[in-house]
Amino acid sequence: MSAPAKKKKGARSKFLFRRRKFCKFCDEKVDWVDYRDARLLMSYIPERAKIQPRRTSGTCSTHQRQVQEAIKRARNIALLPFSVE
Amino acid sequence: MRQYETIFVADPEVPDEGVTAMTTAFAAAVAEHQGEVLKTEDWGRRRLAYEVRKRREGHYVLVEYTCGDAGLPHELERRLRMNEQVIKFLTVRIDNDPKRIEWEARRAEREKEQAARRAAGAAVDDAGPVRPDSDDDGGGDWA
Repeated sequence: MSAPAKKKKGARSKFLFRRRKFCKFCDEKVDWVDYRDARLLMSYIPERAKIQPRRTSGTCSTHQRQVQEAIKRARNIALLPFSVE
Repeated sequence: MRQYETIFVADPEVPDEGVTAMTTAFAAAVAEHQGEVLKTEDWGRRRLAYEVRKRREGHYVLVEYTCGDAGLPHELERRLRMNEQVIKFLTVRIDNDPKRIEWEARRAEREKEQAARRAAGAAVDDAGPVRPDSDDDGGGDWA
């Protein structure tokens, strides 16, 4: 899963190469996301404090769900903002 | 036996002793209903991510407890709601997620290890588990 992406052959591939996204939680073998850990969750709510989509963060579905739940809980007790003006 | 954890946020104007008293009262209420307090954590004053009742700060306290009578969490929430000094609270059931239990166990182990290392006099460079009770207020720079 963490193997580098195999790109199609051709000159262009050199320029288009991007590091493959990976799930940070899978990598660190985290199986539960702590909703009380505001510092960790902060990295999943950039700028406007919206929850970062999987396609940008690379988080796998299992962990994305956990992150999502954790963020929502944290918002509830004012550890994280709902929005930023 | 079900287990719950409740985090409540006290008004920053309440002195620390007041918060301790609130925590004690909370524990008493738990005991009154045949519950048992497993853990209390005082996170201290932290910046709130957004304004709550015109306050920008709050004193966070976390309490873990087992549920005695069935209506206990309900009763506790009722009391918190009535208490003017509490500006926010959240109750979460914690015994039904095996992943969390495992995670807690591992964290406890890690902390024990760290404490042992610290006791041995070795400098602990390892950042360890990042918890909100660390010196960082965790609130970030939200406007």
